[in-house]
Amino acid sequence: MNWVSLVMRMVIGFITLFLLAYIIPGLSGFTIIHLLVVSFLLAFLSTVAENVFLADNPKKKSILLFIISALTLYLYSLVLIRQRAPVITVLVSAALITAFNFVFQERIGEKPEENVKE
Amino acid sequence: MGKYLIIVMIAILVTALCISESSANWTYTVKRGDTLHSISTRVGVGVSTLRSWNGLWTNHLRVGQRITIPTQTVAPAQAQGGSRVGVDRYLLARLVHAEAEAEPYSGKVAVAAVVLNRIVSPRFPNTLAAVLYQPLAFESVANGRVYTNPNSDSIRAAGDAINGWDPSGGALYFFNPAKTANRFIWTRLIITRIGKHVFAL
Repeated sequence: MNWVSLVMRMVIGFITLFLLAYIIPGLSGFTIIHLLVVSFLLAFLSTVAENVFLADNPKKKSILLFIISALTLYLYSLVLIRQRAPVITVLVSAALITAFNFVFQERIGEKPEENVKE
Repeated sequence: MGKYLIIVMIAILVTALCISESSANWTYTVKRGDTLHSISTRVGVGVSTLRSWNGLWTNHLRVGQRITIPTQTVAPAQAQGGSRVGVDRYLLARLVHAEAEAEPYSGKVAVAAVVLNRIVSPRFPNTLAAVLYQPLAFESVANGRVYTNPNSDSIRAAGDAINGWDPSGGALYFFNPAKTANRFIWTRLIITRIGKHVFAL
Protein backbone atom coordinates (compact mmCIF):
# COMPACT_ATOMS: atom_id res chain seq x y z
CA MET A 1 0.00 0.00 0.00
CA ASN A 2 1.29 3.45 -0.95
CA TRP A 3 1.16 5.35 2.36
CA VAL A 4 2.35 8.69 0.93
CA SER A 5 -0.43 8.63 -1.63
CA LEU A 6 -2.96 7.71 1.07
CA VAL A 7 -1.92 10.57 3.37
CA MET A 8 -1.90 13.01 0.48
CA ARG A 9 -5.40 12.00 -0.58
CA MET A 10 -6.60 12.36 2.96
CA VAL A 11 -5.14 15.87 3.26
CA ILE A 12 -6.52 16.90 -0.13
CA GLY A 13 -9.94 15.47 0.71
CA PHE A 14 -10.01 17.22 4.08
CA ILE A 15 -8.99 20.64 2.74
CA THR A 16 -11.34 20.42 -0.25
CA LEU A 17 -14.36 19.48 1.86
CA PHE A 18 -13.45 22.02 4.56
CA LEU A 19 -13.42 24.87 2.04
CA LEU A 20 -16.36 23.64 -0.03
CA ALA A 21 -18.58 23.69 3.08
CA TYR A 22 -18.38 27.50 2.95
CA ILE A 23 -19.34 27.66 -0.72
CA ILE A 24 -21.87 25.00 -1.61
CA PRO A 25 -24.83 23.89 0.50
CA GLY A 26 -25.09 20.41 1.95
CA LEU A 27 -21.78 20.03 3.79
CA SER A 28 -22.59 22.09 6.88
CA GLY A 29 -23.40 18.94 8.89
CA PHE A 30 -19.78 17.79 8.76
CA THR A 31 -17.81 18.75 11.87
CA ILE A 32 -14.00 18.72 11.80
CA ILE A 33 -14.03 15.17 13.20
CA HIS A 34 -16.48 14.07 10.51
CA LEU A 35 -14.28 15.65 7.84
CA LEU A 36 -11.20 13.85 9.18
CA VAL A 37 -13.01 10.51 9.24
CA VAL A 38 -14.59 10.88 5.81
CA SER A 39 -11.33 12.03 4.21
CA PHE A 40 -9.48 9.10 5.79
CA LEU A 41 -12.18 6.71 4.58
CA LEU A 42 -12.13 7.94 1.01
CA ALA A 43 -8.31 7.89 0.91
CA PHE A 44 -8.13 4.40 2.41
CA LEU A 45 -10.90 2.91 0.30
CA SER A 46 -9.58 4.37 -2.93
CA THR A 47 -6.07 3.09 -2.20
CA VAL A 48 -7.45 -0.38 -1.44
CA ALA A 49 -9.59 -0.25 -4.59
CA GLU A 50 -6.53 0.63 -6.68
CA ASN A 51 -4.80 -2.49 -5.43
CA VAL A 52 -7.86 -4.66 -5.93
CA PHE A 53 -8.61 -3.45 -9.46
CA LEU A 54 -4.90 -3.14 -10.34
CA ALA A 55 -5.27 0.45 -11.50
CA ASP A 56 -1.84 1.28 -12.82
CA ASN A 57 -2.32 4.52 -14.75
CA PRO A 58 -3.48 7.98 -13.60
CA LYS A 59 -6.71 7.80 -15.61
CA LYS A 60 -7.92 4.59 -13.97
CA LYS A 61 -6.80 5.85 -10.55
CA SER A 62 -8.70 9.10 -11.01
CA ILE A 63 -11.90 7.34 -12.08
CA LEU A 64 -11.68 5.06 -9.05
CA LEU A 65 -11.00 7.97 -6.71
CA PHE A 66 -13.95 9.93 -8.14
CA ILE A 67 -16.40 7.06 -7.72
CA ILE A 68 -15.20 6.13 -4.24
CA SER A 69 -15.13 9.77 -3.05
CA ALA A 70 -18.67 10.36 -4.24
CA LEU A 71 -19.99 7.14 -2.72
CA THR A 72 -18.17 7.61 0.59
CA LEU A 73 -19.33 11.19 0.96
CA TYR A 74 -22.94 10.40 0.10
CA LEU A 75 -23.22 7.30 2.28
CA TYR A 76 -21.35 8.85 5.22
CA SER A 77 -23.69 11.84 5.17
CA LEU A 78 -26.74 9.60 4.88
CA VAL A 79 -25.78 7.15 7.63
CA LEU A 80 -23.84 9.19 10.19
CA ILE A 81 -25.12 12.73 9.72
CA ARG A 82 -28.62 11.53 8.81
CA GLN A 83 -28.90 14.03 6.02
CA ARG A 84 -29.18 13.19 2.35
CA ALA A 85 -26.37 15.16 0.76
CA PRO A 86 -27.31 16.87 -2.53
CA VAL A 87 -26.07 14.86 -5.51
CA ILE A 88 -24.57 17.96 -7.15
CA THR A 89 -22.59 18.79 -4.01
CA VAL A 90 -21.32 15.22 -3.81
CA LEU A 91 -20.31 15.15 -7.48
CA VAL A 92 -18.60 18.56 -7.35
CA SER A 93 -16.71 17.58 -4.18
CA ALA A 94 -15.61 14.25 -5.66
CA ALA A 95 -14.55 15.92 -8.92
CA LEU A 96 -12.48 18.53 -7.10
CA ILE A 97 -10.82 15.97 -4.83
CA THR A 98 -9.97 13.90 -7.90
CA ALA A 99 -8.66 16.90 -9.82
CA PHE A 100 -6.47 18.18 -6.96
CA ASN A 101 -5.22 14.69 -6.27
CA PHE A 102 -4.37 14.23 -9.97
CA VAL A 103 -2.42 17.49 -10.08
CA PHE A 104 -0.48 16.84 -6.87
CA GLN A 105 0.22 13.19 -7.67
CA GLU A 106 1.59 14.27 -11.04
CA ARG A 107 3.88 16.81 -9.39
CA ILE A 108 5.15 14.36 -6.80
CA GLY A 109 5.53 11.68 -9.46
CA GLU A 110 7.73 14.00 -11.56
CA LYS A 111 10.24 14.81 -8.83
CA PRO A 112 12.02 11.44 -8.51
CA GLU A 113 12.46 11.30 -12.29
CA GLU A 114 14.03 14.77 -12.28
CA ASN A 115 16.39 13.65 -9.51
CA VAL A 116 17.37 10.56 -11.49
CA LYS A 117 18.23 12.66 -14.56
CA GLU A 118 20.52 14.86 -12.48
CA MET B 1 -47.68 65.83 -6.58
CA GLY B 2 -50.13 64.93 -3.82
CA LYS B 3 -50.44 61.37 -5.17
CA TYR B 4 -46.66 60.91 -5.17
CA LEU B 5 -46.47 62.19 -1.62
CA ILE B 6 -49.09 59.66 -0.49
CA ILE B 7 -47.30 56.81 -2.31
CA VAL B 8 -43.99 57.77 -0.69
CA MET B 9 -45.61 57.99 2.74
CA ILE B 10 -47.20 54.54 2.31
CA ALA B 11 -43.87 53.09 1.16
CA ILE B 12 -42.12 54.53 4.23
CA LEU B 13 -44.85 53.17 6.51
CA VAL B 14 -44.67 49.67 4.99
CA THR B 15 -40.85 49.66 5.24
CA ALA B 16 -41.01 50.78 8.87
CA LEU B 17 -43.51 48.02 9.66
CA CYS B 18 -41.30 45.43 7.98
CA ILE B 19 -38.24 46.63 9.87
CA SER B 20 -39.98 46.67 13.23
CA GLU B 21 -41.33 43.17 12.62
CA SER B 22 -37.99 41.71 11.54
CA SER B 23 -36.05 43.31 14.38
CA ALA B 24 -37.76 40.94 16.79
CA ASN B 25 -36.16 37.96 15.04
CA TRP B 26 -32.79 36.37 15.56
CA THR B 27 -30.12 35.93 12.96
CA TYR B 28 -28.12 32.75 13.38
CA THR B 29 -24.86 32.03 11.59
CA VAL B 30 -24.54 28.39 10.55
CA LYS B 31 -21.55 26.62 12.11
CA ARG B 32 -19.87 23.33 11.26
CA GLY B 33 -22.02 20.44 12.39
CA ASP B 34 -25.28 22.36 12.05
CA THR B 35 -28.09 21.05 9.91
CA LEU B 36 -31.45 22.71 9.43
CA HIS B 37 -32.99 19.95 11.54
CA SER B 38 -30.51 20.43 14.42
CA ILE B 39 -31.04 24.20 14.39
CA SER B 40 -34.79 23.67 14.31
CA THR B 41 -34.63 21.37 17.35
CA ARG B 42 -32.37 23.76 19.25
CA VAL B 43 -34.44 26.88 18.72
CA GLY B 44 -37.83 25.20 18.89
CA VAL B 45 -38.99 26.40 15.46
CA GLY B 46 -40.15 23.92 12.82
CA VAL B 47 -37.99 23.06 9.80
CA SER B 48 -40.70 24.18 7.39
CA THR B 49 -41.04 27.51 9.23
CA LEU B 50 -37.29 28.08 9.02
CA ARG B 51 -37.32 27.22 5.34
CA SER B 52 -40.18 29.53 4.52
CA TRP B 53 -38.72 32.41 6.58
CA ASN B 54 -35.38 32.08 4.85
CA GLY B 55 -36.57 31.25 1.36
CA LEU B 56 -34.76 27.92 1.35
CA TRP B 57 -35.65 25.40 -1.35
CA THR B 58 -33.96 22.51 0.41
CA ASN B 59 -32.75 21.61 3.92
CA HIS B 60 -29.12 22.09 2.91
CA LEU B 61 -27.03 24.86 4.44
CA ARG B 62 -23.58 26.37 3.95
CA VAL B 63 -21.17 27.06 6.80
CA GLY B 64 -21.35 30.79 7.56
CA GLN B 65 -24.82 31.19 6.07
CA ARG B 66 -26.99 33.55 8.10
CA ILE B 67 -30.51 32.38 8.73
CA THR B 68 -33.37 34.23 10.33
CA ILE B 69 -35.02 32.56 13.29
CA PRO B 70 -38.50 33.95 13.87
CA THR B 71 -39.33 34.90 17.43
CA GLN B 72 -42.74 33.43 17.91
CA THR B 73 -45.44 34.45 20.29
CA VAL B 74 -47.57 32.27 22.49
CA ALA B 75 -50.71 31.16 20.73
CA PRO B 76 -53.85 32.21 22.60
CA ALA B 77 -54.98 28.62 23.17
CA GLN B 78 -51.60 27.69 24.62
CA ALA B 79 -51.44 30.75 26.83
CA GLN B 80 -54.00 29.28 29.22
CA GLY B 81 -51.36 27.04 30.81
CA GLY B 82 -49.63 23.74 30.11
CA SER B 83 -47.41 23.42 27.09
CA ARG B 84 -46.35 26.60 25.25
CA VAL B 85 -44.82 24.99 22.20
CA GLY B 86 -44.76 28.13 20.06
CA VAL B 87 -42.23 29.97 22.25
CA ASP B 88 -38.68 30.51 20.97
CA ARG B 89 -36.73 28.11 23.16
CA TYR B 90 -33.30 29.41 22.23
CA LEU B 91 -34.14 33.00 23.06
CA LEU B 92 -35.59 31.91 26.39
CA ALA B 93 -32.52 29.78 27.06
CA ARG B 94 -30.29 32.81 26.55
CA LEU B 95 -32.07 34.61 29.37
CA VAL B 96 -32.01 31.52 31.60
CA HIS B 97 -28.28 31.16 31.01
CA ALA B 98 -27.62 34.83 31.71
CA GLU B 99 -29.80 35.04 34.82
CA ALA B 100 -29.39 31.60 36.40
CA GLU B 101 -26.23 29.96 35.09
CA ALA B 102 -25.00 29.04 38.58
CA GLU B 103 -28.43 28.02 39.87
CA PRO B 104 -29.69 24.44 40.26
CA TYR B 105 -31.60 22.98 37.33
CA SER B 106 -35.03 23.56 38.87
CA GLY B 107 -33.97 27.19 39.48
CA LYS B 108 -33.22 27.54 35.78
CA VAL B 109 -36.61 26.10 34.83
CA ALA B 110 -38.26 28.43 37.35
CA VAL B 111 -36.61 31.50 35.78
CA ALA B 112 -37.86 30.39 32.36
CA ALA B 113 -41.30 29.77 33.83
CA VAL B 114 -41.39 33.31 35.27
CA VAL B 115 -40.84 34.72 31.79
CA LEU B 116 -43.58 32.50 30.38
CA ASN B 117 -45.92 33.49 33.21
CA ARG B 118 -45.31 37.12 32.33
CA ILE B 119 -46.29 36.50 28.70
CA VAL B 120 -49.63 35.16 29.89
CA SER B 121 -50.15 37.87 32.51
CA PRO B 122 -52.12 40.99 31.41
CA ARG B 123 -49.67 43.11 33.43
CA PHE B 124 -46.81 42.35 30.99
CA PRO B 125 -46.35 42.33 27.21
CA ASN B 126 -47.65 39.23 25.44
CA THR B 127 -44.61 38.21 23.41
CA LEU B 128 -41.37 36.65 24.56
CA ALA B 129 -39.18 39.29 22.94
CA ALA B 130 -41.26 42.11 24.38
CA VAL B 131 -41.07 40.65 27.90
CA LEU B 132 -37.34 40.11 27.60
CA TYR B 133 -36.56 43.54 26.28
CA GLN B 134 -38.97 45.43 28.51
CA PRO B 135 -36.90 48.31 29.95
CA LEU B 136 -35.31 47.54 33.34
CA ALA B 137 -36.96 44.11 33.47
CA PHE B 138 -33.80 42.00 33.41
CA GLU B 139 -30.31 43.04 34.44
CA SER B 140 -28.71 40.61 31.99
CA VAL B 141 -30.42 42.37 29.07
CA ALA B 142 -29.15 45.76 30.26
CA ASN B 143 -25.54 44.55 30.68
CA GLY B 144 -25.52 42.46 27.50
CA ARG B 145 -24.97 39.09 29.19
CA VAL B 146 -28.12 37.80 27.52
CA TYR B 147 -26.26 37.73 24.20
CA THR B 148 -23.90 34.93 25.29
CA ASN B 149 -24.75 31.51 23.93
CA PRO B 150 -26.62 29.29 26.38
CA ASN B 151 -25.29 25.91 27.48
CA SER B 152 -27.22 22.68 26.99
CA ASP B 153 -28.63 22.80 30.54
CA SER B 154 -30.20 26.19 29.94
CA ILE B 155 -31.66 25.06 26.61
CA ARG B 156 -33.12 21.97 28.29
CA ALA B 157 -34.49 24.07 31.15
CA ALA B 158 -36.16 26.44 28.70
CA GLY B 159 -37.66 23.42 26.92
CA ASP B 160 -39.00 22.00 30.19
CA ALA B 161 -40.62 25.32 31.06
CA ILE B 162 -42.15 25.55 27.59
CA ASN B 163 -43.51 22.03 28.06
CA GLY B 164 -45.35 23.17 31.17
CA TRP B 165 -43.03 22.64 34.18
CA ASP B 166 -43.26 25.59 36.56
CA PRO B 167 -41.26 25.10 39.79
CA SER B 168 -41.85 28.78 40.64
CA GLY B 169 -45.52 28.11 41.36
CA GLY B 170 -46.79 30.74 38.95
CA ALA B 171 -44.37 33.51 40.01
CA LEU B 172 -44.04 36.72 38.03
CA TYR B 173 -40.83 38.01 39.62
CA PHE B 174 -37.58 36.55 40.82
CA PHE B 175 -34.59 38.15 42.47
CA ASN B 176 -31.54 37.45 44.56
CA PRO B 177 -32.34 38.79 48.06
CA ALA B 178 -28.65 39.19 48.87
CA LYS B 179 -28.13 41.57 45.96
CA THR B 180 -31.42 43.38 45.41
CA ALA B 181 -32.08 46.74 47.05
CA ASN B 182 -35.03 47.59 44.79
CA ARG B 183 -37.95 48.69 46.99
CA PHE B 184 -40.66 47.63 44.56
CA ILE B 185 -39.44 44.06 44.28
CA TRP B 186 -39.44 43.67 48.08
CA THR B 187 -43.14 44.58 48.16
CA ARG B 188 -44.01 41.45 46.16
CA LEU B 189 -45.34 38.33 47.87
CA ILE B 190 -42.56 35.75 47.99
CA ILE B 191 -43.93 32.29 47.31
CA THR B 192 -40.87 30.09 47.00
CA ARG B 193 -37.09 29.98 47.05
CA ILE B 194 -34.87 27.92 44.74
CA GLY B 195 -31.10 28.22 45.07
CA LYS B 196 -30.17 31.87 45.55
CA HIS B 197 -33.33 33.21 43.90
CA VAL B 198 -36.66 33.92 45.52
CA PHE B 199 -39.82 33.87 43.40
CA ALA B 200 -42.68 36.26 43.98
CA LEU B 201 -46.11 37.22 42.69
